[in-house]
Amino acid sequence: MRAILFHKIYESMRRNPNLFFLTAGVGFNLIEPMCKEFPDRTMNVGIAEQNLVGVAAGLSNLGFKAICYSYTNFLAERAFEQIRNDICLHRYAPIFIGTTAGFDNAGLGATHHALDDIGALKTLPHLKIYSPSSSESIGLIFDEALASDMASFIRFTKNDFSEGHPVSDANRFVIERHAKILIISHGKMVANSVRASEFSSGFDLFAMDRIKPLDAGKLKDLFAGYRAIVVVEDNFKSGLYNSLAQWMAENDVKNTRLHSISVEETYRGEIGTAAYLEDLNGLNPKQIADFIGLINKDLSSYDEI
Amino acid sequence: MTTPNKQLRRKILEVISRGGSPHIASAFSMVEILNAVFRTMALEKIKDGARDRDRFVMSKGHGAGALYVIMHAYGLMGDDDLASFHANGSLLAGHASHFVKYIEHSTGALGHGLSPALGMAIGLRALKSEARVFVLVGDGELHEGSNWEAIMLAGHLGMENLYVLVDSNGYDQMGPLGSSCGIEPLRAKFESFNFATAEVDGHSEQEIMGVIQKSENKKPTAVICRTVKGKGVSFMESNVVWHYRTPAGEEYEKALAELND
Ligand SMILES: [Mg+2]
Repeated sequence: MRAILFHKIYESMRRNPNLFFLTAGVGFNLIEPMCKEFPDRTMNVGIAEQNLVGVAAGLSNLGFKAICYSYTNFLAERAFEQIRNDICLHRYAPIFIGTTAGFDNAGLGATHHALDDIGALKTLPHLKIYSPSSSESIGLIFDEALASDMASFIRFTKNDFSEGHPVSDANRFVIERHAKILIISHGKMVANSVRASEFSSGFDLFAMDRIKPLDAGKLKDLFAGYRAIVVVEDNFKSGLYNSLAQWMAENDVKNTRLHSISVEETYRGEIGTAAYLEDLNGLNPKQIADFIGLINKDLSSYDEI
Repeated sequence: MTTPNKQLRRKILEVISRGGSPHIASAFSMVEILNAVFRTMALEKIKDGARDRDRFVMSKGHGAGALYVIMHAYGLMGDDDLASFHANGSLLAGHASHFVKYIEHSTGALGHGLSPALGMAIGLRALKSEARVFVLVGDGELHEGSNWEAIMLAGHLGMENLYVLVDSNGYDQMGPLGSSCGIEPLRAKFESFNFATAEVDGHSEQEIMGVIQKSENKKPTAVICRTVKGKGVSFMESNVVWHYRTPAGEEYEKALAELND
């Protein structure tokens, strides 16, 4: 995904002299060609996320579009007030690109896990939030952010899942076989959910890579079409699940149940590989399939009554 | 054509009192700095909204009362707008706000002016423009670490089009800076970050203009403007109460009398 994204950025920089690329000391072996070809518009500001975002605001004041690159958690949380005041308040439209989302930096410890970024960022008005799930979707999302007159935050992982065909919307079905249960997921957990098919065929899968604004138009049909919806995300419950729960309450949805498979809301001392930490939180493909199995059983017993 | 600073202070007293707003002492300490900057900038391009205009960023946004009065004096704000300062429904908040025409950046949350100003300077350099960016920071505001991220990068990049003016009145809203976290020697600090520096009487427009009008440096410039918080009204000078209090009644009359002398 990262290679595809950087190819996109490079091509866009070449076409559009109004684009600036800024990084806060991240992107070794990725940004060097841009530094060489666009030295006036490519800048490493150093390990200083607050300055990264503030500088992007100043560039936006001149009508430039800035792409800001850093680790997801430092960009979203160290520079949170800069994103709020200097960007969202001014309705500037830079693109924030946060790498190593979720448990990508698993072994580096809790300071480097991005599990609360979506919950934090989605409180901010005038900011779109994306969590691309595939090689195809990340390109589409970058183009969407590039064309947008609103700021975008793209949080992505090292995951290399490919759908094998182009996609036409960030929010789309990945598996549609008319099951009773729908998984709604984003980012890397879409790949985990696809792999859950090796253990269960009792669910459909919808990738909601555009988390904010919520896709209200599609949600009506999705909730009407399924008995139960399971949100699978490498985030706390404050992420997409929380947005969908609010949407359900506001729209008086009663006939569909909403479940969550997400990361337990705590900061752990224990580390391991991403797979290990996903496993601890019920996010591995087999665990997802088992969860679907339980809900299916529950729905069937309900039908028998 | 410039408005005498006493007249500006009378206007500041009037709008702050009418608006019931705090921060009059902060506003009084920066009058000459603002006057010097606005005399220096190319105002026509600012009025035209040209992309390559000079830019002013008021990082110490709580001096908004002074900024609006200066903008009014330079034809960047009408009478009615100025009269609405701090009133219900007005865009003229107690902190500088970009919702007001010609204000480049909303500030007030301290430490949010320098990085955007640096971004503007970087953008102007990329456009190969001669335009310059002036940013006014408070000395207490320099406690915020975000400023030093921007100062470090500006010095590294040799941003000759960036002018940082420090309203060095020696106070924050709790009292003298030295009693919380001292920031001196300030000039040496900027010098060590590769800035050209000057230390001036912050109540002398001429001294300030003498520094910011010439730009032969290949470095950003820091002007340490030594000022008096509450300057111009004896009982407000270096009295931290006037960071909060709005002059009314007898106090208002007394202040006005001093500014009429
Ligand atoms: Mg001060």
